[in-house]
Amino acid sequence: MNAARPRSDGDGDLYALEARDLAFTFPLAARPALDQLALRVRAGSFTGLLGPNGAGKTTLVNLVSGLLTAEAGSLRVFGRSIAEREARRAIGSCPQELALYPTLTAAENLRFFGRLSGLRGARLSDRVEACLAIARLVAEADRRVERFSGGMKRRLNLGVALLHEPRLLLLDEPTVGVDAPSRLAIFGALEALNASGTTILYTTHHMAEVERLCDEVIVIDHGRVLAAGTTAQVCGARAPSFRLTLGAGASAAALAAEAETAGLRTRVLGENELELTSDDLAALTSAVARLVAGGGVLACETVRPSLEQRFLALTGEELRD
Amino acid sequence: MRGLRNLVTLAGKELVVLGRDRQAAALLFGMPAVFVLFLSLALEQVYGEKMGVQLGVVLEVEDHGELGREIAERLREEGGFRMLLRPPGVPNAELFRSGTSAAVRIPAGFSADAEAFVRASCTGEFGPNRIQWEASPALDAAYRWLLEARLATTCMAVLQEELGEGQKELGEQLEKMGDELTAMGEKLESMGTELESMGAKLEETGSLLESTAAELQTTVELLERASALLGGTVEELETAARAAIAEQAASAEAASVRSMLAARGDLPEGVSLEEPPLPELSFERPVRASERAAAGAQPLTETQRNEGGEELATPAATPVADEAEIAASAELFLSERAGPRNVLPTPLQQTVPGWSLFAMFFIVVPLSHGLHRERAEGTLRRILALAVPQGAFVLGKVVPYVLVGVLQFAGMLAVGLYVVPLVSDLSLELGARPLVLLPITLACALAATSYGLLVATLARTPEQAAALGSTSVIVLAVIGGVMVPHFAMPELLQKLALASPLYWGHKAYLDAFLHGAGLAEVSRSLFVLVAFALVCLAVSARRVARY
Repeated sequence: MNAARPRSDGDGDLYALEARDLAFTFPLAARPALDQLALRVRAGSFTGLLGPNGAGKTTLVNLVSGLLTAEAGSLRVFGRSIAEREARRAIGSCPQELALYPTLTAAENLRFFGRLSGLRGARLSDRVEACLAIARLVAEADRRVERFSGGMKRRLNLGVALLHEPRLLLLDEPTVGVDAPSRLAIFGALEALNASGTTILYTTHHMAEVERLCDEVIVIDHGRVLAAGTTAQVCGARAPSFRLTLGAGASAAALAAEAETAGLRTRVLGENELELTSDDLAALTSAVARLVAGGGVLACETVRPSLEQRFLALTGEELRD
Repeated sequence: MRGLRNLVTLAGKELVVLGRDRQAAALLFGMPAVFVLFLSLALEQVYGEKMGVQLGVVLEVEDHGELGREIAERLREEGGFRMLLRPPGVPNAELFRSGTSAAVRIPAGFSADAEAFVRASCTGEFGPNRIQWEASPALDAAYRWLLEARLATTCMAVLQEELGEGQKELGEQLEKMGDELTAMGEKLESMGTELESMGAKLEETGSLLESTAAELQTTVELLERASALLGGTVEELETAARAAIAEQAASAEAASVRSMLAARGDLPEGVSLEEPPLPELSFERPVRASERAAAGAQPLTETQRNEGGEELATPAATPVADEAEIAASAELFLSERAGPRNVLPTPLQQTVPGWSLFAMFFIVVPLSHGLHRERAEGTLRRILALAVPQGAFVLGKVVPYVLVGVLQFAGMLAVGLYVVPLVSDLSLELGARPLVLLPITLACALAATSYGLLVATLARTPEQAAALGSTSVIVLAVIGGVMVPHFAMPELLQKLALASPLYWGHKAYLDAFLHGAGLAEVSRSLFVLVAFALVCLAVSARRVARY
């Protein structure tokens, strides 16, 4: 799909997106939306962009889309400044909103945005057909979008973003409000695109989607990057937990109190279940060994932290309104 | 090139979206069509006798002159109102409380002032005795306007007829005077012949006087001798003798001439032999105000006098003041103000452009709704992310909505030209130069679209835009003379109207309809509309992407 597209030399082949010391503050805002943010998105990767509400994700996406201009720092797409037309043309954006005209048909929407993307004639027709196929809407091409289901609209929304075959695809929660079959169809299309070489920056609040789709993750909050790397790297940066299953005579609360004196963090999961964790892996293993040796422990299971746990550990559990 | 392609794409999309919005179509085309149809018919009733009979107007005629009586007669017969007699001693306020709509008074001396005004060929100041009228405070503004218009047009008609009769009479007088002048010329010619013969006789008289002088010289010498004998001075006797001779000669000459003229018997007494001075009569030809202004001088004058020395007026060689100029003078004989140039629009001429403008400006509702929807649904964000400039996006809105504005006016024009005449006696007169309606409509539609964009981009929510847009358009229409004719407004509101773009649009249309204005004549209105549009567009283009 991307064979005919021009590529730049040097870092442009290595990184689809590279931000350095990016800063942006909205007028009248008390603190910056982006604060010396620096990140890299590897070319060809499927990168998840995570962050709580107000973390700066949408601001970053708007800067990359050219809708906002950074106050400081640099932003490069495939090695080119975002100010260059070629850089902008390399980007496809699928916003969280259903950015479609309801009174136009699916094909009319695609043709309209295709023309604004610079497509004409047979090339435009080919791309419209291709995107209808990707969105699995060929049979519905001449129906008005206002009569589509939520899933159909979401698929068409994605199809519009693919019209000009972007090398970097920005997706902002593309599966909000869709049913499972449509979600699976979208996942399938995205995986196929990524396999063909398209770099995808995927913004979502669904950790499971990131764990399924993304090979790299960037976590940001307060306009700064908190963690970045492969999913395993981000999750594995923290020591595992141990989940203990206790016998009838043992007390989870008593064992928890004993573990806390040894400096471990505990979580009582039930009368007979207890989870222990610590940033000090050596201290954790020795403490667990002592508890097991003391009797009353029927089973001990190692638990790797989930992305969600890691995310909450990084950003905190307080509500963000 | 890419910019033009983007513009075409955006405009095409806008037209398709708008075309599929039935509510917007009903609002933009149905609403003004209904207004034009029904309000024109309603105004026709106001103009017609049916409604006029229901409006009682007290008419008080204090003037006993011919013109005053004629105007009163016409108001009674053709005024479209039920003319009532004034009960003695009842003030207007009480009449109005009892349901009388208005009171009209033709004061004593009106006819004299009117005749003087006509004699001056409807130029100059009208005298102090003008028709006075007062409308009931409860009377609707439209009826006030109608009554004022009726008074003005009736007076105009009567004075015009009077002016025409005066001109006819003057023509006859001129013809008669020409005949008299011809006769005078013939008489002067015969007098010249007679004077020639009189000259010959005077020559003979001169020879006679010379011989008489020689005889007198002899007499003087004799007297000198006698003086020497009597002791008197020669000089004193000589002076006395010369005076006696001169008196005698003059007496003889005068007697000779008188006797000769008396013998002919055809010269009136008291006419001297000197050439009579040319008579002096100042006559003011009716001159257009524009001519006077262009000449920068006093009015042209001619002098004529008949044989008896009586002053005669001469009709103008150039055409007299035309109807529009007489109409412009209507305010002279009405004590209250009438309309601009007193050429009043017909109901259709008032409603077709008025409600077309209203509908054009009402695009603020669908336009702002559409723009806010694009903001909320992310299509605007998506378009701008495709590197489409904000200016192109704004123009992509302007072009289709200007086209819609032109279609709106064309639709209303069709209603006025073809639909309303089917159900009434009304017809729409477009003026002498109907092609000027196109640039007027383009300017109006541009101003309307730009204003819609301004409201859409200033408002933060669609609800805010709808409320601000519709309310402001209604206010602009009210003060702009769409709902109440501009000339029927109080002076303060007339000045306030200048702030409304609808006023300038309506004015341009009325200038075209009523006065046959061309592009040059409406250029001031068009300039105001286009300047207004550019300011709105400049602000809109800066604010369109703020969300």
